[in-house]
Amino acid sequence: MATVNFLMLDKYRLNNFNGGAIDFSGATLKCAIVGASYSPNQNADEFWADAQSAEVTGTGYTAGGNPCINATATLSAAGLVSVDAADPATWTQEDLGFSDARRVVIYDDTGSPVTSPILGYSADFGTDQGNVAGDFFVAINSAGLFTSARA
Amino acid sequence: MNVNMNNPRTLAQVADRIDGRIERLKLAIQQEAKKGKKGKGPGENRYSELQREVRMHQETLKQIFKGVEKWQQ
Repeated sequence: MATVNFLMLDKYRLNNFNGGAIDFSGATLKCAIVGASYSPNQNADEFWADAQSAEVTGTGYTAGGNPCINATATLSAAGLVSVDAADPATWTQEDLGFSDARRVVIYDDTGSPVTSPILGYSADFGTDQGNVAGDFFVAINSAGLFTSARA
Repeated sequence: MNVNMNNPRTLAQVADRIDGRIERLKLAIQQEAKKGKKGKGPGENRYSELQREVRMHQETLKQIFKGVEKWQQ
């Protein structure tokens, strides 16, 4: 199992203070899988449209990715804000599945790629991955997608 | 974020993730209850969706523990 970092987009962080905050109680977070042709620009990328062209295709993969249901933003008594969501459903093994996965992208699906904000993406897996040899799953860190500690 | 490379995670890793998720879901449920938030649609609301996910994870944990107990015997 590879463990890779989750990298938040700068625009997502900025937009939280500029009227573009995502209301998680009504958000439809999705986990999409992209290939090596997606070269993330952490400072400039903003919407799913920036990564969509690199999305993988194959049997068992639904365009747009799998939902991460019940996104939550919670505050602990110790002042830790945690953003989390349920893991996306596993992409089960398919002989004609995808085999060129290099990153996942987590975004809020508004119905249109040009208005669906990306929260962040994973670091490169290092090698091509897929659901041809076996199931492919994404498990969010046990501490959640990301956290913000009290300053 | 953990991403698999077609090797299953260990049961301990799965249990750890579920534990953390349940903890945050319970916090979210408390916070929803405080807001008195109601309904996305008839008979359905975010509160019950979160509770449903907690129950699902608790059942998964139960199955993991059962499996571990069986394996230890």
